Amino acid sequence: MIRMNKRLLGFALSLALIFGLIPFTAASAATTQNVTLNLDGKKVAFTGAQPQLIGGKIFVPYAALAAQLKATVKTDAASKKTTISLNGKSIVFTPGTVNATINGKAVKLEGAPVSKDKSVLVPVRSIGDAFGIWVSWSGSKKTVDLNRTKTVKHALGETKLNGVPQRVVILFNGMVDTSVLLGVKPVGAVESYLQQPFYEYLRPSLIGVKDLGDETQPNLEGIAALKPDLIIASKMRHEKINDQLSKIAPTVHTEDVFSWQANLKFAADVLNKQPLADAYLANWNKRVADFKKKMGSKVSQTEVSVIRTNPNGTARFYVEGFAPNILLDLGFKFPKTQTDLTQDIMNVATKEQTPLLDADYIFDFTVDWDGDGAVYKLQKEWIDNPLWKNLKAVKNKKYYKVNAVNWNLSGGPLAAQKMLDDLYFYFNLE
Amino acid sequence: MSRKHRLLCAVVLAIAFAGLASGCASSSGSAKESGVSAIPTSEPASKGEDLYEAIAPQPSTDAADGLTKMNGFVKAYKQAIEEDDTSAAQQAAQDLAGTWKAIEEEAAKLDGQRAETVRGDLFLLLEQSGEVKNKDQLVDISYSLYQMIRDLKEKAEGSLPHEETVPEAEDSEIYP
Repeated sequence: MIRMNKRLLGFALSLALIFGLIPFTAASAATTQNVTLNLDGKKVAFTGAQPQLIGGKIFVPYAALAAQLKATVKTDAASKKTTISLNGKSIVFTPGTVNATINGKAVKLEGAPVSKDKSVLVPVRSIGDAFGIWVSWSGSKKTVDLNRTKTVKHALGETKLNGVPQRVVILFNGMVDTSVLLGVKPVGAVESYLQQPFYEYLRPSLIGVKDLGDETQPNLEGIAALKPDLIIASKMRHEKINDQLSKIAPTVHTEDVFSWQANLKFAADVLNKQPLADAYLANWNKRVADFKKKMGSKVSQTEVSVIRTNPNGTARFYVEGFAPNILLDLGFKFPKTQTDLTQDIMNVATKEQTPLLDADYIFDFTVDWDGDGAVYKLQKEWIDNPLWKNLKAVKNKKYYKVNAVNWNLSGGPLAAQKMLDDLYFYFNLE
Repeated sequence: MSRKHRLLCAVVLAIAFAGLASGCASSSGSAKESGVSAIPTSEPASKGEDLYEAIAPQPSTDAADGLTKMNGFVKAYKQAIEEDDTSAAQQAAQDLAGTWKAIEEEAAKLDGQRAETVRGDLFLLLEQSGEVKNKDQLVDISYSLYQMIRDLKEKAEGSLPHEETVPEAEDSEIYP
């Protein structure tokens, strides 16, 4: 009887699964769902076709929205091309195709405009891109918010922006990497610490971008000459020049230069690139989970040490910063001897203190700042000192010299991906 | 045939090929003209270069496919060196070189400088993997190679971000 009940239960569960899945699948195939649209915080009432989710993208009846924006609409009867114009900006699209033009530039819309209930619906994000309107989506409220102005809360207060910035100046390296990921080409950016003007892996995306000098002392005249509509700086580096920057253009600050995930979310919000950041972070989290799964319980039992040799001959270990934060996210830990001594970084002055650098794995991102190789001679002095060979990582052949750009200097999401790649390499993971 | 014998044969073949190549160089043009990364012809060929020349190309669908395979081989190489498995390291080095040979021309078009570095690193791996004298150096080379392969793969797959245009500056009343 019990056996029969189990079979019945199994059968019932199978039926429940089958019938439960069918509507879900059918719904997924042709998902359309009406959504609420707010413009500058006020709900917009649409007659006829409503704003709606189609295949996961938000579409709006363009004519009704254009009227709300007080934009001009023209449709060419022969080509069926529609142009919406506002304040010198425009979008040109044709129903049924993703090929469009935004402000004179050929683009692919995230979905082809469709005809529905005597209206043509276009992806709302394209309207936002064309006219510098922030578009944000609340899945829980099924509401899309369009905002023509934005007050950005940042590390040094609040700054009001009148439209999505188009001429952006970037004052720290991690944000330069972030801007490339988000597809926002700045008009000017500080130069990289090595491989000037910009790190080689970013250079193809930064052709024509004005080099604004060092991150710690950016060229203020150069910034002003670019007539930016936004400066992205970091309190950690630029608090003292904030008054000067704010006189040139609206300026926003991140708290620091190395909290790359927070900085990515911040930039995506300010620059209206939320979906790209969300997609990146979803993929990142997937990779982190994969790494942890492949490492198994070993990861939480593995101590890592992140070090470098300084140009003055001292060594340094880090328990805070770009690489340490990623290693912590992955589940590694730092030696107690290090965390007991400092919250962030610590210089190790003498060779007698060599054991402070030890862990199961040592990653060394010594940088040849001057390009003369002198720092590598100093690094060799550390490696040749008698206490070095006693380090656990050295004995076990787990001392690695890593790419300083990816592990320390760049500090953005694209560099983070490369660092994670390196960890797959070093831990022999597929 | 044992690995040692195969390696010996490879060296003999390499020497033979090197002799043929030097005989042809003056009449058939330089490496640059053939689109392959240039290795100065005036310098004597290294042992690694000879070994490289003797290896048969291992075909791939395209550069991206070949680079994906190489990504796996270079990881296997690094692991073998760390585990003192010379035989596996030699095999991985040969797989790397064979796969590279089949895609080198295509890869050089993507990034000539990186392609040249890959070739040079492969010479070193082939030369030193048979008799490992400096494990640390080989791990460092494999790391360099790993990064080059990754960068080339990104280019082959076109996954690098594209250039964006920037609008003209507008005068602002608030921020002149």
